[in-house]
Amino acid sequence: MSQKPSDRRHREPGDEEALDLDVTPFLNIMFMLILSTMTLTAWTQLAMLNVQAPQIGGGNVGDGNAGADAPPSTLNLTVFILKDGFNIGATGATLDGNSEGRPGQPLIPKIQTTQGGKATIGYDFQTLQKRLIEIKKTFPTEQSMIVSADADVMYDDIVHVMDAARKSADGKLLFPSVAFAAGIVG
Amino acid sequence: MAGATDTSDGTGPYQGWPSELRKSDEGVSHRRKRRHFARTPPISITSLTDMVTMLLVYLLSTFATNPVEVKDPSVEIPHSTCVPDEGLPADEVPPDGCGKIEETTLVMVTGPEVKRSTETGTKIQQVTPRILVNGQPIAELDAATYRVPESVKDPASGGYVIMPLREALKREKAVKEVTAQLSGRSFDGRVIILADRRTPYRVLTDVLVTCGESGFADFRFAVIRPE
Repeated sequence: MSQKPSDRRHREPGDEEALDLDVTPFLNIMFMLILSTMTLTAWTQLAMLNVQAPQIGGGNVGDGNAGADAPPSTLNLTVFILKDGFNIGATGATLDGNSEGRPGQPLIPKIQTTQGGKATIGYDFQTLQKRLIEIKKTFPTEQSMIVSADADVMYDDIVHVMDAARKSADGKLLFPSVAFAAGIVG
Repeated sequence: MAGATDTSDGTGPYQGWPSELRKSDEGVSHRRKRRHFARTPPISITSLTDMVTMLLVYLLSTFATNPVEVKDPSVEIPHSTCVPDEGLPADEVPPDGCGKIEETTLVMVTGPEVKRSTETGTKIQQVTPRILVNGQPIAELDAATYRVPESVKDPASGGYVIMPLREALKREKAVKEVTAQLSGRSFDGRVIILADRRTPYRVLTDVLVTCGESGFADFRFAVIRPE
């Protein structure tokens, strides 16, 4: 039987208070959980660059390599990262300063860039990418590239070379399958 | 209504109150007055609880998608333009060689200095770069030359294989092979290289060659993806 509206006034005054839950401890736990997750969460988002296995040692080559089903490479495109710039090499030929009429200099010398009002001398990744796009036009099926660097070249620059070689600005794949040569120069 | 509420002598509890208020209180029972007081509107925390729960769920979900943690303060991971394709299944090979981060064997090369901000400004403290496998220190680099010391290298390998790293990775491989066998898969030889951005190429090749020799041939470089 439903309650008559007139019954309201006969309710005990304590009824309403009894329905209220005490949520304070629950809120305390919530805040503590939020604080702990916030301190434990890594805010930098990481990604992974796949690297081709170099043909050294007896390691079994996993089947999860990028471009594993690509046709065997005949071009042997190699980017040399020198102290003062880039050279690009391939089977039978090396593009360097000599072929450009600047003997003793690398193919793509370092350039001066302004970063945050401070002039720094760094590698010219844009010109490198332009060169690689030209090579890709001549060899459209080629996927792989070998990176060889001077012993003192920073890991940061190597990652940027891989970035420049992976994709052109319009999203076309260049040479995403990068392998490393162990210390040919330096 | 005379007696207790009579204020004519000036000593009653309602002394000084306007007469209409005095009137309205007359005849109201003690119980009724208390109830009126308890009805003062409380601050509603329901919406606050909602918000807090939402925040918690969001934080827990982002927390679950970062399997690799960098706790060492000296490591500065290089930035890359690599944006993984979120729609790609985890088993598939990304065509551009740019994958999502996953939990697997982690080889870390730490950096040469730790930056600490103090009251007087940023303080740079020199530290010795180290090589770690899954958070366990394996070998120290020579701080002066920033190379792997020749004393820990295997001379039979042509000066590339770092012996303590090879031992650690062989142990890791034995564990990984057992777990792979139990879950019915084959050992994939996958390893994430997480190196400081100042690491020289020579140290990097030493680490890569050692990993390859120990059976970990599927390298991944951990980088920071653009926002």
